[in-house]
Amino acid sequence: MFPRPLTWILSTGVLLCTAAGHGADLEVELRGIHSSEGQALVAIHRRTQGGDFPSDASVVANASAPAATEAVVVVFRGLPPGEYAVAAFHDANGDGELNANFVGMPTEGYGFSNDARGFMGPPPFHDAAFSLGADAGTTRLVVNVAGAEPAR
Amino acid sequence: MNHFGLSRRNALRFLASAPLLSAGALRAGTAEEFAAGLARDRRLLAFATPRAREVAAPLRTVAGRLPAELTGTLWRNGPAEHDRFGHRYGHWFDGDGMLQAFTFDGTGVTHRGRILDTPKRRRETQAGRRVLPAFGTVPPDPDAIRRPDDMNAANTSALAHGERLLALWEGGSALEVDPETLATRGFVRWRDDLAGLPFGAHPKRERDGTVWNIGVVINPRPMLLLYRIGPAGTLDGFGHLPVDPLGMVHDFVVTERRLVALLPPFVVEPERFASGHTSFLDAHAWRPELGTRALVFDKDTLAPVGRHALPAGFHFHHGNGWEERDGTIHLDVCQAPDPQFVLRDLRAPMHGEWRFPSVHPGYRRVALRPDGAALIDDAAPGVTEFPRIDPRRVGLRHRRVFVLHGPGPTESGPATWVLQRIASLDPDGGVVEHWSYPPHQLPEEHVFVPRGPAEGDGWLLGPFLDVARREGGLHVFDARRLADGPLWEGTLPYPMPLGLHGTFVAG
Repeated sequence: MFPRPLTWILSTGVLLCTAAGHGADLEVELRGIHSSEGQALVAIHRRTQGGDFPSDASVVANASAPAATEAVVVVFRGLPPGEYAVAAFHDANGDGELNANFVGMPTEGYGFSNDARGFMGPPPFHDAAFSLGADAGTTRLVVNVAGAEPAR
Repeated sequence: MNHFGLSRRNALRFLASAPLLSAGALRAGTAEEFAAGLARDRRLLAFATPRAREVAAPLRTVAGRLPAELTGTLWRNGPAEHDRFGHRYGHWFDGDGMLQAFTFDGTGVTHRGRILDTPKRRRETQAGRRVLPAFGTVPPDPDAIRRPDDMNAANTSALAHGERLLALWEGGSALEVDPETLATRGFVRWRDDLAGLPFGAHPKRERDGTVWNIGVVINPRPMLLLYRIGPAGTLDGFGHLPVDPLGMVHDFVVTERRLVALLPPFVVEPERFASGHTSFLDAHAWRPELGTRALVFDKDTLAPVGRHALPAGFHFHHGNGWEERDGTIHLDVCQAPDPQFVLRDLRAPMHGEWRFPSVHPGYRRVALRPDGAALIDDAAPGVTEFPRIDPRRVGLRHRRVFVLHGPGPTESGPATWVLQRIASLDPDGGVVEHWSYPPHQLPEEHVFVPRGPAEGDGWLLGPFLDVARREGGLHVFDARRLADGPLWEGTLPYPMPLGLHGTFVAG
């Protein structure tokens, strides 16, 4: 049995959402964080013209929460209907970056919606994509922030 | 300032780049076919999973006397958990590692062993099934691999250095283990920007306490890594060299001024690698036209200073390397004409077949001249594997190599284990002497422990499996009187599968 998830309600992520009351709420449950050091960072992305994902251009909202080994839930409110993907990582050292070793391999845990993965790069947007309808109420999805993090 | 866009594209380029996944042509074993094989041939016990995840017992003296001055611990590692959740791996090198300690206190020997609690194994415990790709087998419906350590089985070797005990694999980080409880403490991070990078299973320790090692990275681009670890156990130097194409490089040698890596022409094909359906082993292609490439590095700068070309061959192990005053580098290698024995013979016992028809490695000498010339010749007859030397000769001219030895498949017939003897070799003179294990005892690598000041004056510690008594055991030999047979034989009240490599820590 999992302990009761810790929940942070994060004030809206920014967003394109103007018509309050017409958006959907999204609860992102992060699992598999290895330690309570640092923070969990979550970003909501949309499809871009150029197809860049994940990128600065594709981010529509982001949020952070203290890291925890129990499930961490981050809530986004009032997302307009559309197709989205979630990217998240465990910023264990709190520097705001997904750290990597010198060959470019991430050394902090990370994950995408749908458990999407790519080979030699991030997954394509459509592999991580899901849809939110108008007045969809609350949608909950799980992102596994996995990683055998070198410890010592 | 972060935008969570995961904009470090370079970081993400690595994602699934770990050593490979396979499902296709080469199947896993099954418990049924293995059980049927074991009923036909009791020697297959060498590839059976231990009945308990944790074992401990004193060894019972069967014959002889233990040298009172021999005190310390022989650490051993090897794939042991071949079966789990009803899934049996299809290659000898796949199984989750079991670290073992044989502790000598001057009057007796006690044994401890524990299947290592790796993140890989934990993830499979959680899933209730095998979900991660292994060296030569991919389980059905495998999970995402995000980095090599996700599949790190920590099953190949052990290193005690700078007050740390490390279980080594080849494709990922060293795993620190508590020497008292054999509990895992975590992967070693030599430096922040080196976290998660492969640290090989054949580190070399010099007399001043410096440890050298290599690592092989396949993605995002193939490169050879070089590590220099100081006597205190901290990183003193790091180098890397892009090498394309590249495949497994299991071992290397050090000389007084150089590091030398021989690269067999058994290289990873990126397309097969990327398919996600091919194991790390099976993503390799045999490309004899490349020959065996020898790369020579300077120990001070860790920069390449020489390249040599040798005929194609496949090897895992070296005995030692040394250099002459004129710069000629000598090394020995246990080399086969091709990797068939790895691809085929080391799979057969996992499927309950006692068949080793391929040509296994033989003992060869290599000379690399400063003018670029390279020579290789056979230096002993028969099959030769698991070479060990007197550790005081690492990087210096050596006169003895202790190996597991066999007459070779053509002479021994298909039903014989390929390595049934412990032998002492002279690199210039072939087999000096040997002792043959009885057919019901299968030996592992024998580790040399120094006694007197001269090279080769010491003991050989040799674990074995007795398939008649269904017991593990250990022999102690006088390394200069192998032909006389063991000084001491002790047995365990349980069998242990054949392991790979180990190290002795005196004290």
